[in-house]
Amino acid sequence: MIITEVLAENFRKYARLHLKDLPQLGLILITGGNESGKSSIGEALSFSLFGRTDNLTTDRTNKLIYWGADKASVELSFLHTGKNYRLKRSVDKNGSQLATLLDEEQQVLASTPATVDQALTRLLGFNYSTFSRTFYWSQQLATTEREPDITNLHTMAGIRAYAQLDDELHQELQSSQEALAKLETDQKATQAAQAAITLDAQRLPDLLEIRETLEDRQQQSQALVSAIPSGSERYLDDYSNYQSYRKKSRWLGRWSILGIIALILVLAGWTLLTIVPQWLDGISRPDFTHEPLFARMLLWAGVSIAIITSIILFRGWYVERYRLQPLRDNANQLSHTLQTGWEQANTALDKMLGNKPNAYLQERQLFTQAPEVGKLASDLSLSADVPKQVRDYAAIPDQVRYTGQAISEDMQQRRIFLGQCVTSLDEDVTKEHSLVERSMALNREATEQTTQIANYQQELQVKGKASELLRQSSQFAIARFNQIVQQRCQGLLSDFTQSHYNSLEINNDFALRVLSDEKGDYLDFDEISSGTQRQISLAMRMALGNSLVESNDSESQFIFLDEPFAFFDAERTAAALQSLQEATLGHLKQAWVTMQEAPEGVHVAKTIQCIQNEPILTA
Amino acid sequence: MSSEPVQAEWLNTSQLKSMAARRFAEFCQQNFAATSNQPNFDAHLYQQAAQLVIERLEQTAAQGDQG
Repeated sequence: MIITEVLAENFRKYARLHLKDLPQLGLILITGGNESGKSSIGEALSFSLFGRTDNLTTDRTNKLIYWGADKASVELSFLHTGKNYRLKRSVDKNGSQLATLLDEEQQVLASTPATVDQALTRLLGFNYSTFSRTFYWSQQLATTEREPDITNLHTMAGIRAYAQLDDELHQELQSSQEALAKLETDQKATQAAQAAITLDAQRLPDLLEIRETLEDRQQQSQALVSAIPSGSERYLDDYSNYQSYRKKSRWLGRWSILGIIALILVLAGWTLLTIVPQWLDGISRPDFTHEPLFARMLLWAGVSIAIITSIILFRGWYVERYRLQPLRDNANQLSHTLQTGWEQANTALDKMLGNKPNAYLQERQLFTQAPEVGKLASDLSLSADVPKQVRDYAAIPDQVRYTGQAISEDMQQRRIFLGQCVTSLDEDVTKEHSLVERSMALNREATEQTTQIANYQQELQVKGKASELLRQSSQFAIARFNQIVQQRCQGLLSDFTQSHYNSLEINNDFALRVLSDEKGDYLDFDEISSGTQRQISLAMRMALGNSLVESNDSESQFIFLDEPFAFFDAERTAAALQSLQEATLGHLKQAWVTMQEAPEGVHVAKTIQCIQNEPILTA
Repeated sequence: MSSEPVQAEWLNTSQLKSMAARRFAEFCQQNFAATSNQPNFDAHLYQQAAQLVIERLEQTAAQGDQG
């Protein structure tokens, strides 16, 4: 691609810039002082081709508009692979761009910025990224050192992204290894903590079972403590009622028997007189003149006796059923309560509680506080028969009250003792719960740590492999780069550095080294001066530019170098410019170079003089 | 190294936007073919590692820092 004409309007400091009859071969020197508009020419080329400049991305190109104008436009004519093309691009105040690409027959090849970009990339074989690294040496890039030369050279070698990523991966691998080491330490601490916990899986269920037993016994004692005093008090009332009703019942019973006997006799007499009077024949008896009447009277008497006896019987049944039976029920209930209490009071706790509670109480040495067993039995004033006697109201109320009180007090002591046992047990249950929770938390922590360790190990493996692949891939790129350097750059390097440095290579650690003829050895790129670094970068750019043009099957290409010798001394500048002029014999046939002043003794194909504060330039 | 690249779908370069990622994927195609027959070769690990590099190179390119 060779530029043949540039026409810009309202672009940067130029109201109009028209460069025509541009030579297709040789140096095009753009000279002028500071702020004279030299760099604007390079920006015009960059804007027209790619819609952006080095420091203004596409969305900010409205800043390129000449002061007071509504839009900036650049029309570029170029020759590529033997054909002429024309590219028009403009930007308005809102930053909206228009672009059109035409062929030599003025046919529109593309008419929007996006399609023009696609068409140009297809046509030229490179995009802005490649252009800015290979064919366009930005003054701003060089002077501000925004991007160190070594990075530029990495970019040219195609390993910049690899080197950056390799650095990132190494840092990440280091961080992951540190994190893994910390995790492994934490895991050991967790395992030690787990080992320190002696947890019996059966302990907590056993404690809960024991607690249930103790609580059950405690509730039984409490139930007896509540039931016995009230039962004893009721017995006092029931006792007199029972005696009274019992007496009444017996009286009614006796009268019932008498009534039945009387009824049988009367009915027998009536039967003899009425039904079988012949049985009386021959029996000496008083002469009853009116025997039939007497028989009827007997019948009526029998009926009366039967009614009275029935009433007595009913009354007896009523007393038995509704008076005595409830009292007997109460007595039975009290008897049962007293019997239970008596038996419990005279039974040792260890026999009542079972194996597990006994083992626990012994372990905690709680039996020493247990109430004395058999105290009631040894009390001579108490009788074991009282509970049975109560059932028949045979025990006198005072005896019952005294016995009940004794049993109740004993049960109360047991209840208190069992309560203490439950309290003690609760403490152990809480401790065991805490142990179980701690153990579970440690288990969870250990599981999480194991997962994290596995993840880190996997990550380390993947990133390690990624780094290995990246290195291997880099070695290919580096080998290719070094080959290009060997083939194309040696002469330029020697010319640009006045034969101080003749070769350059990137080693597998991405380090850039230059071969010093003086020292006969490779020096690290960082060891040489910044001026020499730029000379080397420029030589590399020329070499890679040539390679790129060749690989794209283009015959020729322009290169724009904005103040490439800004930090060179006069002698070195002249030598470098001479080398550049000679280099145009390669594929980079058209070399645009901006300089403050034109050097003497160098053949220049065209010189463009930029003048400060001059908005119109035609050359 | 074999000149016949292994057709691994995950190494499809046509979808890649950055030159660095494309070059790396092309290298992997060749390298995978050469190393996949070796004993103890872990294809899954290789794929994960290669995809990680490609993904990161693409991300870097998307951030406007193309290599």
